[in-house]
Amino acid sequence: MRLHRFNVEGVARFARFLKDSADDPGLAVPTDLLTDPVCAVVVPPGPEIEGRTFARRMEAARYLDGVLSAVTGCDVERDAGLWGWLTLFYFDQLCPPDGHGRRKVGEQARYVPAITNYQKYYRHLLAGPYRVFRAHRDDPNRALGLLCGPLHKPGEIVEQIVSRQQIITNPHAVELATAIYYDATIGSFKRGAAGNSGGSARRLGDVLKQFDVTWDLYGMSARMILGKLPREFDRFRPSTAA
Amino acid sequence: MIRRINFTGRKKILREDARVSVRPDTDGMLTFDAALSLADYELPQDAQIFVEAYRQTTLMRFPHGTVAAPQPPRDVPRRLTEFPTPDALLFRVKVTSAGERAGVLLAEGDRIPVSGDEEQPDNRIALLPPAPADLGQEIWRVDLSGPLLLVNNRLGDWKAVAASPLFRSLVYPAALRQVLTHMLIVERMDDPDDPNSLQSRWVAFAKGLGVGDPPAQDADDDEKADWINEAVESFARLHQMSDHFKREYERIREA
Repeated sequence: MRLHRFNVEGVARFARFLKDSADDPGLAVPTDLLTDPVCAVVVPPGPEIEGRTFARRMEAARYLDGVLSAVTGCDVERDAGLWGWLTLFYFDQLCPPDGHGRRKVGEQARYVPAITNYQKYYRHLLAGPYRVFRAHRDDPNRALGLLCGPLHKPGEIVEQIVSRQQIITNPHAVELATAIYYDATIGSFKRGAAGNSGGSARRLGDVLKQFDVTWDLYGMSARMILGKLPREFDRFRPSTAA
Repeated sequence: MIRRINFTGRKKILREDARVSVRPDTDGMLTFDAALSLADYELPQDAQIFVEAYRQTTLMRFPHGTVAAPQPPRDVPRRLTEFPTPDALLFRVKVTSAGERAGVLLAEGDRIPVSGDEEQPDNRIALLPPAPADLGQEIWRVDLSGPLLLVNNRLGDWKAVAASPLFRSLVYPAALRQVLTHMLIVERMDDPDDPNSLQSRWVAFAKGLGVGDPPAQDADDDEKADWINEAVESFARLHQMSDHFKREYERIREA
């Protein structure tokens, strides 16, 4: 199918479906909106988009980066209509039905990006990983800790890191987060990385925020930052330094 | 909110000492120029300068010479390849130590808007620059990340809309209330020791309206709301918002 974007009407109708689904979890997904000329228009120059299944956020972000790099004439990251359309296109992966065909629809910002809301813009289930991938596309593996989960479950660690602009835009801080919290043997986060306890991702955010007052963190390597972390992070330190 | 303590005496670079302009290159790509005046900050001459352009998850960083010679290297293009538009684009200037304490932050200026986008006070709020955004059927909205005053670009000449007396008188007091409420009641911010913090600048702005210090962080919400109301009232009074609104409304009715 050709890549489309929702116009105002399309976004409104999709948002109404999301709202109604909260009351009726078995509501049919309105896939007809995808090609309804009242709701959607082709995005120039009309790249093809495929109905793939993505094992992790990383694969989805990589694929979307490839497709969207061809797009012209719009600010991709900030185009709510585009991301709303893509969400509906991949809806079964972003909001999978249970065995009875019922879906648990979460907050709207997960499906239609809240572009101008700094507390929510990163929560979109497709634009979120795409933004992380784009910010680190010179070496996406450094962001693997933020892109290792399934599309519909980003997880608390992602929330803690991506919500902090000074961290998510810093390649060394992101490399550090992956080094200390990602367990390559299980392809997921280490136990204890979420939550509020010592050494958790929430604490990493707080500590880096304090460091940021004193140091130019952008100019420091992940290894240098790791060396400055307090002892509460010892249980997460990789055996070989980051 | 976690308090950030400025252990190292990092200096704040004032907005008037860091002006950044943005223009499209011959191929349409945005490029920037930064005019920095750092001579009065008593910084080491060999300290390094970096200019960062950022918006949400996107950041580009550019070396900008040293305090002795604050100019970008000739071989480093200042092209903002990651930003298709200048909407909501902000800049940060960092000065870092180059000596034994390499990497220590010596001075910083943050949330620097593109020159020309930053409106001067008159009836507006200098800390709340207007910016265009597609807001559907909404006319305006405060983006608290800047904060920015978003004006719907579907209205056509959004700058003219934002500058109109009707818009100013209706929107700016409400926007001021929203920002102060968010900072004092929702986020319960308390960071008075950090002159760089956004809260410090907003509190200074509000105090300039003659309402004194804000209630302490642990004060109850009613007390904070009273202080915010006083600040907004004072702001509206100072800029004669009601008079402006009446005049403009009458003019439109008679037209």
